[in-house]
Amino acid sequence: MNLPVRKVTADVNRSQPRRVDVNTEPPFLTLEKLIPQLLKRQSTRGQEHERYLRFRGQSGRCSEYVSDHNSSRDFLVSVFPDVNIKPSGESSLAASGFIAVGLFVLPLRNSVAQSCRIVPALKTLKMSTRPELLAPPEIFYDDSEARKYTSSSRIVEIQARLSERALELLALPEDDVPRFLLDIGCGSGLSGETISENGHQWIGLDISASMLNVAVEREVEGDLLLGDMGQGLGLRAGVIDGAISISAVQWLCNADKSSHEPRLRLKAFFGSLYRCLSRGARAVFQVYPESIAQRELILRQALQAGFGGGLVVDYPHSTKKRKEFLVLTCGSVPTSINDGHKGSGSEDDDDDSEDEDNGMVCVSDRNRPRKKQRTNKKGKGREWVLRKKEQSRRKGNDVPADSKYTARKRKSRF
Amino acid sequence: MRLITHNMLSCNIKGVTNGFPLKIEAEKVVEKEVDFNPDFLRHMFAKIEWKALVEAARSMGYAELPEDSPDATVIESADETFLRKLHHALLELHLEEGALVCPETGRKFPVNKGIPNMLLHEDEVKQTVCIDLRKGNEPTRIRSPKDRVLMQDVCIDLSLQVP
Repeated sequence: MNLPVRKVTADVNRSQPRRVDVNTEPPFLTLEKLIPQLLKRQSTRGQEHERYLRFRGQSGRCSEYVSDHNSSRDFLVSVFPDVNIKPSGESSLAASGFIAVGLFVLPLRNSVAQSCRIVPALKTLKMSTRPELLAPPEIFYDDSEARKYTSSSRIVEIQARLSERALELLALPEDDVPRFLLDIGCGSGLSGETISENGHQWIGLDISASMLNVAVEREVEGDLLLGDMGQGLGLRAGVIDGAISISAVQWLCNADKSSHEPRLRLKAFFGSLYRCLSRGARAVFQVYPESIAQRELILRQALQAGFGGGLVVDYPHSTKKRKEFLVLTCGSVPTSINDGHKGSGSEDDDDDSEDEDNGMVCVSDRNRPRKKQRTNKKGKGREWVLRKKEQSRRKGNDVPADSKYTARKRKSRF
Repeated sequence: MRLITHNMLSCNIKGVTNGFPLKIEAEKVVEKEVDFNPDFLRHMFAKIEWKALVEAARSMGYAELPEDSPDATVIESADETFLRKLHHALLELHLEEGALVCPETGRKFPVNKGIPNMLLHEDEVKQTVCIDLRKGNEPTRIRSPKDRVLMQDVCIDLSLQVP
């Protein structure tokens, strides 16, 4: 692509900060010129973009690096829903489905370090309360954010409470033997501390080096790994006794680079997690899904990877206190955990374990007389179709939405 | 990073079939004392790849582990001399600075301040979708799950000139 772009500034909005000066001499590029270029690009790879946007339900971020090969500069292009800008190319934006979102263009120079300098500026824009919409995790949790995160007593308390609850849902056998656990998205080791207090050993995985440095300073007991869960966990099969993750998995639902595909990243993550867990182990993720679609996506990918289990919601009626835990079991319902349950009496996670028990298959008599299928002249009817769709939805399949056309008969001319 | 973690880690690069065990290139090793817990060691013993552990401990300068994997009686017995050694190797030796090397590709994962950097480059990730941006090529469409599987091992070439 010949980007004939030389001049000036991501001129965003009159009220918003006009531009973010990255260099003293920023690569110049007008938004008006860039947008048509971007749109042209999108028309060749429209599918990809459309997918991201649809997936986000227009409430998310779509940022990616765009290279201008002539000047060998990179640009970070982010699409934010909350920024209202009216670039001159509005009509073409509308044509490509960008009408509801704003566009924010930042010049970059080929490095993550650059974007590190941009992110604080983005944060000051206060575009969203959800951190995952602001920047990729490794950039959002920079040194200052990591320190802020760990020094806030409120966050520390919430994290401790969440990890306590997650451990409870993990339902490890109560025989005083320390287990080997995995903490995914361990950050500064707040959740790991809870694990250590309960006497278990752990490995923590996080993508933010700054957060891990804070963890090292705090001398946490577990081992730390710098890694991206969306690339799959590089662990041997069957070695981990359980996994917890506090407020981390929803980060996977965002595509931060053009090579990221949330679905594939979730799949890689759950697939590799399934392999490295031992038989009968559980994984408990506390998640903040942004929308129903995200929740379903996470659940579906987990089930497809072979996990059983489902969602446990604490304080379902409160908007602030509401916490969702994804409780996954590895493989078929293991007898050891069942035994543990019977031995330890009823825990308050019984409701979810019952669901898992229902997954057992009864062996029916082969020769039992088949029920005659009742065939109605009118066909199965709308209720039946709706029921079946609901059933399929619960299984996690992709089911078209109900409409007035659902279960309607075709016209006779067909 | 302790050796117990090293014993679990394997290389996750695309196309690598046997990424275990990662070789250790130690530059700085520290020892930190940890409470001795025989129950945990007995529990973990079954999961440990003995050969990898012995080799790793050697490369960290600790050679007191026996070459062959001891049988269950030694583990279960009340005599704790062996368990003490195992405890020291597994939990007290920390690789502070150095690198882990993939046995197949030779890719180095640097270890700084005890944290191994396991981040992969984009061309090493297993599951990516290829969308060819070159002029004239329609973006490859993924129609069915089968296509998707086929595409998993194709990786993005970001160096392609954008049309």
